[in-house]
Amino acid sequence: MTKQWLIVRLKVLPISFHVNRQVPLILLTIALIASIGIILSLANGEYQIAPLEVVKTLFGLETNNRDLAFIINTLRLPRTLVAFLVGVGLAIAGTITQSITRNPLASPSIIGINAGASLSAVSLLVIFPNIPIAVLPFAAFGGALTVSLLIYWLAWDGGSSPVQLILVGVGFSSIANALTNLTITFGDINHVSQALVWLAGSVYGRSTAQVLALLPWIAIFGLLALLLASELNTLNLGDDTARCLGIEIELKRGLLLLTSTALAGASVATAGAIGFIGLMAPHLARSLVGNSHQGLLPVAAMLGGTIVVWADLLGRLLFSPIELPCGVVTAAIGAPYFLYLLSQNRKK
Amino acid sequence: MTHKDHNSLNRLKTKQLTLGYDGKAIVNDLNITISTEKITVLVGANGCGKSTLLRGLARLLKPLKGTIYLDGKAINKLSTKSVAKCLAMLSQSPIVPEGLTVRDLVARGRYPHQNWLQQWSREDDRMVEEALEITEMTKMADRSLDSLSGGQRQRAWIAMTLAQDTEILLLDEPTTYLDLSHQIELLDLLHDLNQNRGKTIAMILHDLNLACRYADDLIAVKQGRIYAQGSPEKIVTKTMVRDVFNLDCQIIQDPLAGTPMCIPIGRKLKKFFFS
Repeated sequence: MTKQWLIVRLKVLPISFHVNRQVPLILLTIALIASIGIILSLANGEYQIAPLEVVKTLFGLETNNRDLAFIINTLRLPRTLVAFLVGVGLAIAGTITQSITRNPLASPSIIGINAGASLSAVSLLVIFPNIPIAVLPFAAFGGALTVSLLIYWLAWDGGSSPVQLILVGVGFSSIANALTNLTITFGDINHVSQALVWLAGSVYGRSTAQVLALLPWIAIFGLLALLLASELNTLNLGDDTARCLGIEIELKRGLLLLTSTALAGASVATAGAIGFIGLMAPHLARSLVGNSHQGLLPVAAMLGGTIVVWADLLGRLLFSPIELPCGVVTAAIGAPYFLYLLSQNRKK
Repeated sequence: MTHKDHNSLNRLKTKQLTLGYDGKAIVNDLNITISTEKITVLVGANGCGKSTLLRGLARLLKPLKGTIYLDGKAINKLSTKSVAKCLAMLSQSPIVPEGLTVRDLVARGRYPHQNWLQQWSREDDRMVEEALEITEMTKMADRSLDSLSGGQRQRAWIAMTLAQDTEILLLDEPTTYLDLSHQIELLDLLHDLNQNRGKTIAMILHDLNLACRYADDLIAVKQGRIYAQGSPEKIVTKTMVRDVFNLDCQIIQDPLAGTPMCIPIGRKLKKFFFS
């Protein structure tokens, strides 16, 4: 028996798996940091609320001020929830692309999947400004899928050439961004302004409707990713070993890429281009709990959610009363992190 | 299924097998049989197609022509998971994800026995512990693979293929990058697996003398064709070494094992003895 693993075998359901023994403690710690971020986020705004009052309101306890429930639950909570869910989605998407390419730099924002999602969402916002919010994730998913398929077709090469994948991805990113700019330049000014706010990667003014449009995507595809944890472990050993272990490589890799694309697409559709989460969260998680995906996926997901919640909070606090979109904050942390990873990768 | 069920049957065969890359044939029209519960060693010059042949047997390459049979059934008609329960392969330099521990790696050998929900059964536990024990890696199980020596790392990979619990084991140059004592240690381990657990082993070795000592069945490959197949005593001759390796030599008897031993001549000695 090992001290390194925590083995979970449910008696009622036929479910069993093992994770790094430290996973529960690490998840708990991140959850605590996330909770603090969420509470501060809900407390902060034009009308300051004491953190204790926030907690009371969230749990439905009696407070001195009747308006608190409205301010917190209706005005502020959707924004924070969207921030968290988007972080979760982008982090899982990034973990998948990094693992199936065996490339720590291959996150959806860098290989152009997010740009594809942005392009189709912006086009939709500008051309059909009156469409319901729930349609946006589907459109973004379509854009993201198109880019994934093009990358798969043009640059996959058995996942053996990390640099080629990145370069082609950056190329697609630029093309998609150029087309997005074109759409904005020629679009109707009233519709464009809405798209512009969205594009900066912001969770500003998100409503409950948007939370509800995003939630099923994250829940369904997040769960699918967890079910595919063993496949990720196996694919991570390289195509030859994976095939010898009896995995249907093309099928499972396709399914995983689809999952990743759906998560990235839905996240981008809801909050715009919040960059570098899919790069940072999986990498940090890997250094915490190792390379087994049963533990890696949940830790990366929680880290992703936490980073976006805190980025949104910092964006509001740093230059208050001016509000920075959280995409700007994640880019400010993420870009140096990317360069650091790039230099680490070159040393090998 | 125990190995006894197939005792008299040779489980892995090829029929007029042609293998290659991008439509260019490297192995031509091959009929070979891997003897069950024996150690088969493939030898041949660099680029003769022995690696290609082994990859073909492990279904890593689609045949251009012909068929590979596992228990009488065409291997590409069987589900890849059911093949993975019978046949494991260790390639020459497998990819190791960063920071992976020995136990994590060995655990991945259990993949063909798992499903979406049951990702870690008691049987999985037992097989991993057993594989670690057999390869004497139990003490190093919690160490990261990057921190191991070449010999230890190779034993960890063998442990992974053991956890896969297959009766047939294919190995592509398992002794490359190992010093002499670790080469012997590894070959002894494979010999034990064959003797004590009835594993069918087919592997590629570069050292002809070690091949002769450990092989029950030797296959000499020349330019994508079988030059000779049989026990080392029968097939290793001066002519065979000259034809297959393009090398002049003398064959003597290994003073310890009694198996053939090849003493290469080379230009340096030729000057002394043959001028």
